[in-house]
Amino acid sequence: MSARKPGAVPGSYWGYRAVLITVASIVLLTLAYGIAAGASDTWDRLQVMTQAVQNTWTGWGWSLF
Amino acid sequence: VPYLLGFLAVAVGIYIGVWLIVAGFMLYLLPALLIGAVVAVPAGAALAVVVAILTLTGLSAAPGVISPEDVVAASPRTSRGGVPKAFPRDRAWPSYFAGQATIDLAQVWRATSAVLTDGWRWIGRGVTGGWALAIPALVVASPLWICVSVGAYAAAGLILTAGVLIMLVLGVCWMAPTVLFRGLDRLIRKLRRASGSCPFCYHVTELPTFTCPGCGWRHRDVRPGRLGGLWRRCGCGTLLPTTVLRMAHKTQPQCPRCESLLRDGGAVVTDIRLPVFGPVSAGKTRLVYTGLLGLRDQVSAGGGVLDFVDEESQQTFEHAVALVGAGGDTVKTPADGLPHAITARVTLGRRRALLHMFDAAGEFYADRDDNSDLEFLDHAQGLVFVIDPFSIAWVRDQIGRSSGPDIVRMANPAHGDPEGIYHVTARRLRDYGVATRKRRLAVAVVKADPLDRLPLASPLDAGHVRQWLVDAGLDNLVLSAERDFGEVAYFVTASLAGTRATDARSPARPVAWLCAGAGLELWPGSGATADVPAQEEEESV
Repeated sequence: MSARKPGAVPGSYWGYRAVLITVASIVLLTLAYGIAAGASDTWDRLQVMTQAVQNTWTGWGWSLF
Repeated sequence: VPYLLGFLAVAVGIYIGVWLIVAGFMLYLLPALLIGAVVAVPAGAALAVVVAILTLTGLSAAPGVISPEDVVAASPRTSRGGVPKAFPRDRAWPSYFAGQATIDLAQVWRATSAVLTDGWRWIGRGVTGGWALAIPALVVASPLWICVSVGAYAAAGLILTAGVLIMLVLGVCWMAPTVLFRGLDRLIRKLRRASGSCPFCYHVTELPTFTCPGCGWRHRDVRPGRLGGLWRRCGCGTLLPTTVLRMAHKTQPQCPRCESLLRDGGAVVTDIRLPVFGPVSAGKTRLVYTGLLGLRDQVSAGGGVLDFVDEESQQTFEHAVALVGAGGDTVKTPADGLPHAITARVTLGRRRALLHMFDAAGEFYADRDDNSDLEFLDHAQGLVFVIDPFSIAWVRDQIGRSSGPDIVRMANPAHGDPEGIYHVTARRLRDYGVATRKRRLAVAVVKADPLDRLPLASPLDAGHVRQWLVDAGLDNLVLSAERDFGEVAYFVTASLAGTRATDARSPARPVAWLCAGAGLELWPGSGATADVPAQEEEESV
C-alpha cells in the first residue's frame, strides 16, 4: 500500500487531466495545421475581397466627390 | 448672400469630411478588419486552448477539487428509501468520473468566458472613456473581439465536446471493471455463504468495517464504487484495495456496530452460527466441548483441519480438551453476562469456514424477558436444543429407589422443563420475525451414558429418539418443533471424550448435521441423521 502526502490530489486525477490537455493540444495542433495548410489560399481570398471592397468604393465613391 | 455662402461652405465641408471618413473606412479600415477578423478567429481559438491547458494544469484559474472531507460533509443523510443513514460516506478520494471530471470541464468553459468577459469590460471602459477612446473601441476593438470570442467559444466548445466524449469512453472503461469487481465480490461471498459475525455483539453484516492502516480511519463501505473502482485512496493518502475479499487480506474486518475485530476470515469465508439452548445444567457446554473435540478429530481424519483463529476460543478449547480428557465436569456457565462466540476455523481442502458456537447460560432461556438480548438466536442457520432426560418426569418416575438416586445425582439433572424452555425460545424467534421454517433444529437428548444404566420402559436408541420423546410425554414439544422449524432431527448423545464423530451417539453429529444444512458438509454423510425423520414416521403410521 503506497501512501501519499495527505491532501495531495491523487495521481489518477492528473492522468485524466493529461488526457484532457492532450485533447486541447490536438485541437490547437489541428487549428495550426489548418491555418498553415490554408494560409496561402486564405491570403489570396482576402486580397480578392479587399480589392473588391476597394474597387467598389473607387468605382462609385469618387463620383460622389 | 454671405450667410447663404457660409452655409454652403459648411455643408460642403461636412460632406467632404463624411466622404473622407467613409472613404477611409471603405479603402483601409474595412479591408484591415477583414484581415483582422481572419486572424482574430484562430487567435481566439488559440486563446481558448491556452486557457484550457493553464486551467487543467492548475497554473491559472485552477478548478476546485472534491476532497475526501467534502465527500464526508456532502454525505446524504438518508438512503434512497428515506431511511436515516447511520454513517456518513467514507473519507476517501472520489473517482475522477464521480464529479471531478465535470468540475474540470466546466472550469475550462468558465475560465475561457472569464478571459473574454475581461476583454469586453476593457473595451467597455474604452467606450465610456471619451471620443478619443470610444471610436477605436467601437470601430476596431469590438468587431475584432467579437471574432476572438467566436473563435474562443468555438474552440472551447470543441474541447469540451471532445473532452466529454473521451471522458465517457474512459468512464465506461472505468465502470466496467468496477461493476464487475463489485458483482464478483458479492457473488463469491454469496456462493461461499460468507458474512461477518461479531462474536461479541452478535451483529451479522455483509459489509464489515476496515481500518486504514495509514491513519486509522474506519472505512465502512469498501465496495468498488464512486470512491474507487479497483483501488481507493484514503483521505490520508494510503492506497487501499476495494472489495471485501481483497481488503480482508490487508487488514482485519471489524463489526460496523460495536467496532470489535471480527474473527480472521470473517465476511470472507463461509460463516456458520449455531447457538445451543436448553435449561440450566442440561449439558449444553459439555455438548459444545465434546462436539468440537469430535469434529476436530473427524475433520483431521478426513485430511482437513479444525483450528482456532482467536486466543479466547483457543484457550476455551484447550481447557475443554483437558477437562473432558480428565473426565471432569464442566463448570456452570456464568449467567452474569452474555457469552462470546467460540469460533473454530474449518479447512477442508480449499474450502474454509468459520463455525461460531454460542453457549449462553440456561438462565437466559428460562424467561421471555431474559432472552431478549440473545441476538445470536436470530442470525443462526440452525439451533441445537439440548434435552436432559433426567429432567423428564417420565424418566424420573421410572428410576428405581435403589441405585437410581445415585445415578440421578451424578447426572446433575437440568433445572427447568424442556418444553417450557423450547416455547420461550421459539416465541422469542417469532417475536423477532425469524423465519424458523427456513432453519434447522437439532434436538439432542444428552447424558445417554448414565441413562443406559437405568431400566427404562422404552430404551433410548439412536434412530428412535423422536418416538422416545413422544413416549416420554414430550409429544407436544416434538409437534411444536416440527411445526415451527423447516427441518428437525433428533439425536442422542453421550458427551464423552474419545467418542468418534461417526458414532451414533457422538455429540459432534448434531453440530455436523446443522453445518451440512448451512452448506458445509464436514465429512461424507454428515448431513444425514440417524433418527427416523418425522415425516417418514408419520407416513409409515
